[in-house]
Amino acid sequence: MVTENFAAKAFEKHSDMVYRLAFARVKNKSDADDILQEVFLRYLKNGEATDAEHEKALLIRITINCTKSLFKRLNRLKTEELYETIPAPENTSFKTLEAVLKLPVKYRTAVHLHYYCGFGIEEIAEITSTKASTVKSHLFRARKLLKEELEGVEF
Amino acid sequence: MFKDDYTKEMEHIKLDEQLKAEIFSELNAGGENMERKKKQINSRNIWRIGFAACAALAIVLSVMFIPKSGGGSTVINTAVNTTASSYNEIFNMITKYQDENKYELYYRHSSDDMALIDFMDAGAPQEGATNSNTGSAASNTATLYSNKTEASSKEDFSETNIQVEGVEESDIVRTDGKYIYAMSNGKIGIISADKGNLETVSTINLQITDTEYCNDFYLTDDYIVAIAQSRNLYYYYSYNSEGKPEIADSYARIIIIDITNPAEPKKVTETKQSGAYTDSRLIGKHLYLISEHRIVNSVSDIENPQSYVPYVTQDNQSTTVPASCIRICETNNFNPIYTVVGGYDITNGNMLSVQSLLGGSSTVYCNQNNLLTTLAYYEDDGAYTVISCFGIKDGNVSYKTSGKVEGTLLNQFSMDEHKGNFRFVTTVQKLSTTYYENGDYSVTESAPTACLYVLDENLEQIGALENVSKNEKVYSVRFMGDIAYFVTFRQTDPLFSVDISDPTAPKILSALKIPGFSNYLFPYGDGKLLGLGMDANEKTGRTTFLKLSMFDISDPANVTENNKLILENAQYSPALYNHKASLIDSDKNLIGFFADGYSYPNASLNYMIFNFTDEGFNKLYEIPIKIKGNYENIRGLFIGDYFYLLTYNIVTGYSLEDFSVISDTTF
Repeated sequence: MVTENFAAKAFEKHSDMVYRLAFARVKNKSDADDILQEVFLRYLKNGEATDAEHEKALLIRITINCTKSLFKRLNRLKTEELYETIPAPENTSFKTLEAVLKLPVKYRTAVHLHYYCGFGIEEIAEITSTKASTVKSHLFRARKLLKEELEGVEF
Repeated sequence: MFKDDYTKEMEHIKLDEQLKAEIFSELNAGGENMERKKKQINSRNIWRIGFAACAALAIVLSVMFIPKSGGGSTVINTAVNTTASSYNEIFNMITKYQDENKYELYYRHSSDDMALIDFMDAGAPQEGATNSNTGSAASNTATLYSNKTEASSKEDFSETNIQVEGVEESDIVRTDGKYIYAMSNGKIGIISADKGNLETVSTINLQITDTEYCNDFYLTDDYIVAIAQSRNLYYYYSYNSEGKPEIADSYARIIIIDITNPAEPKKVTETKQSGAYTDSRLIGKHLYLISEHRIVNSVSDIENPQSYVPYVTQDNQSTTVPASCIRICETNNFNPIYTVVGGYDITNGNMLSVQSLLGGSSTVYCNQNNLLTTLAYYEDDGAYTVISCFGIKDGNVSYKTSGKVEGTLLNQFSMDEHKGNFRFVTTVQKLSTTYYENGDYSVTESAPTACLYVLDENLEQIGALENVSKNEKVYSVRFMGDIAYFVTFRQTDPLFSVDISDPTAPKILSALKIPGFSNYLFPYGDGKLLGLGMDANEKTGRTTFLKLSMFDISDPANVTENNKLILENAQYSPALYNHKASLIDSDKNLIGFFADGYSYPNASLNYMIFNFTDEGFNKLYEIPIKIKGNYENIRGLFIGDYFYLLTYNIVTGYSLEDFSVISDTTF
C-alpha cells in the first residue's frame, strides 16, 4: 500500500476547487488542466501548510499566481465555446457562468472566491494580498455588471 | 439566486477522471516525472454561430482580423495601405461593417483579458498604489532641456530601464538625483532626497476621475508630463435616446505640469487624444502618444465625424484627424479600430501632428527616428504580425510604410532597428485544419518555433532564419548591434546568439542549453549579459524558482552561463514581464526587484537586492514588504550611496552600505 504524500492528499481534497478557480480565470479547460498540475507541484515543493485552512488559502494563492504568469506569457487567452467543450446533459444552461467569465479577471476572481468558495471579504483580501476595500469594490462592480447581463438576478 | 446558479453551473467544470488519476499518482511519486502535456486546440464548430463566435475569438486576441473565407497565404506580402480619400469613404466602410456584423454585445466584450489586467490592476481610487516607475531623466538629450537654476546632482542615480538610449519611456517613479518624483493613486509626490533623508516637498493632484487611472509619467528638467487613461469604458455605458447602449470614447489625457520650482508645481495645460492608451515615448520635448480608437457605437450621422474618426481635444475644442492622415490597412478583414499616433510639444501641450491607421495596435518599438506599431492577426495557417512604420522628428509624425512577418512578437524588445534594417524575433505556430465528413472540423496548432526576420527600410523582407528551435516559444530577446540574443524554452532554455552583420543571411553562432529560461535579458557591462527568469526541472520543464543568470558573451560564438543564482523563496516577480519593474545598473552594480514566494499566511513578499562580482551573484539585502497593494508598482532606485524603495505612497530611504533605514515619507 502506498502512503500518500501531503500534496497527493491535498489533491484529492482540493483538485476540483483549484480546477474551477483556474477555469474561472483562464476560461478554457486546456490551460486549466495545465495550471492544476503546476499548482500541486508547486505546493509539493513548497512544503506542507500548517493546517487545513492554510492549505486551502495557499493553494488558492498559488493558483492565482500561476494564472498570472500565463496571462503575461501568452499573447492571447483562448476562449472556447462553453457549450462545445464542457460535457453536460442536453439543455444545460451556462448563462450565469458565461456572464461571470465576461467580467474582468479580478472581478470574476472575487466573485468566484466569494460565491463559489464561500470566502468573506477579509479572507479574500488576506489570501490575495490586496486591501479589503479593493475586494469590496471589485465585488460591488461585478454585481453591477452581472445585474445588467443577467436580467432579474438576485444576490 | 446567483450563488446557486453559479455553483450549479460550476459543477460541470470537472477534470477528466483519467487525467485526475494520472496526476494523483504522479504527485504521490514525488512529481518529478509530471510531463508538461502539449496543448491542442480541438474545437468542433468553433465558428458555429458565425460572427458571434468570431467575436468570441476576437476576444482572445486583443485585435484581430478573422478570415471569413478560406485561403490564407503562406507568402509574406506587405500589407497594402491607402490613404482615405474622405470622411465619406470611412463612414461607408464602417457603416457597411456594422450592418454586416450586428452582434451588439460584441462591442461590450471586445477587449481581451490581458488588456483588462493592465486596466484593472492599476487600481481603483481607493486602492493603495498607482505608482509610476522612477528613472532619471535621460541626460544625453541635454540640448533640448532648458536649464533649471539648481544644478543637477553630481551623484549617480538610477534610471528607468529603457530600450533605446535617448528615447524615454513612461514610468511611475523618477529621480534627478535631488528629488524623487513618485506617483500613487492619482497624485505625484515631489520628495527631496538627501543622503537617505526624505521630505515630501509638494504633491501634485492630477484630479483623476472615477473612470480614469494614471500609471505613467515623464520627467524633464522643467516639466512633468503625466498620462491619465480612461478605464475600460465598455463597462460603463448608458443608453441613448433610441434605447441603444452607448459607450463613451476611451482617451488618454496628457497633463503637463511645470516643476521648475519643485516646491510649487503648476499645471500648464492638458490635451486629450481619443482612443485607449497603448504606449508613448518622449524624445527631448516631444511626446509621441499611441492609442487605439475603436468605433463601438452605432454610426449613423455622416455629418458628425467625431463619432467615427479619432480626435484630439485641447481647451474643449476637438479636432478630428483629417482624412489625409488616415491610412486604411487592408488585410483579410476590416475592423473599425484606429491606431492613432500623435506628436505633441510638451512645453505647451499642442498637438503638432497626428497620423492614424485603420487597424489595431499592440506592441510599440520606438527609436530616435522611427516608431513601429504592430498588429497581430490570424490567417488560416497561423498568426502574422503587421508592422507599420511612422517617421518621427521634432513632434512630426509621418506614415512611411508597412510590412508583415510571420508569428507573434513577445514584446517591444523583440523589435529593433540597426543600420537601416529592421529585425524581429517571433514565435511562429502554424495552424492546420482537419475536416471531418460530418462537417465538423478541428484546428491543430503545430509546435511553436522561433524565427528571426530582417526587413529593410521599406519593411520588405531581406533575410530570415526560421525554425530556430523546434517546439519552443520565444521567452526573451535582446538585440545588441550585429548580434541578436534570444531565449526559447520548453524544457531547457537555449539562449541563441545570432549574427546579423549580414542582414540577408542571419546565422546562429551559438545555442546554450540550460535548464529554465530568462524572461528578461540585460547587457551587464563588458561581455556580460544578465538574464532574469525561472529555473525549471530539466526533464519535465516544470518551472520552480526565480533565477538570475550571468552569461559570458565576450565571444558570441561561445556563450556560456558563468554564474547563476536560484532564489528559493521566490516564485514570481513582476520584473519577469515588465522591464520597468526592475532596477538594473551595471555601472553601480545593483540588481533589484520585488519577488513573491508562496507561503501563507505570512506571504513572503520581499524586495531583493543583489550585486555581481567575480564570485557570482550576492544577495545584499531583502526588504520585507508588509503593505498590501498592487505589488506590480513597487520600485527601487538609488541616488549616490543611498537606496530608496517606493511602496505605493511611501518612499523609504536606506543606506546602501548596510541597508539601515534612514527615513521615510508619505505623500
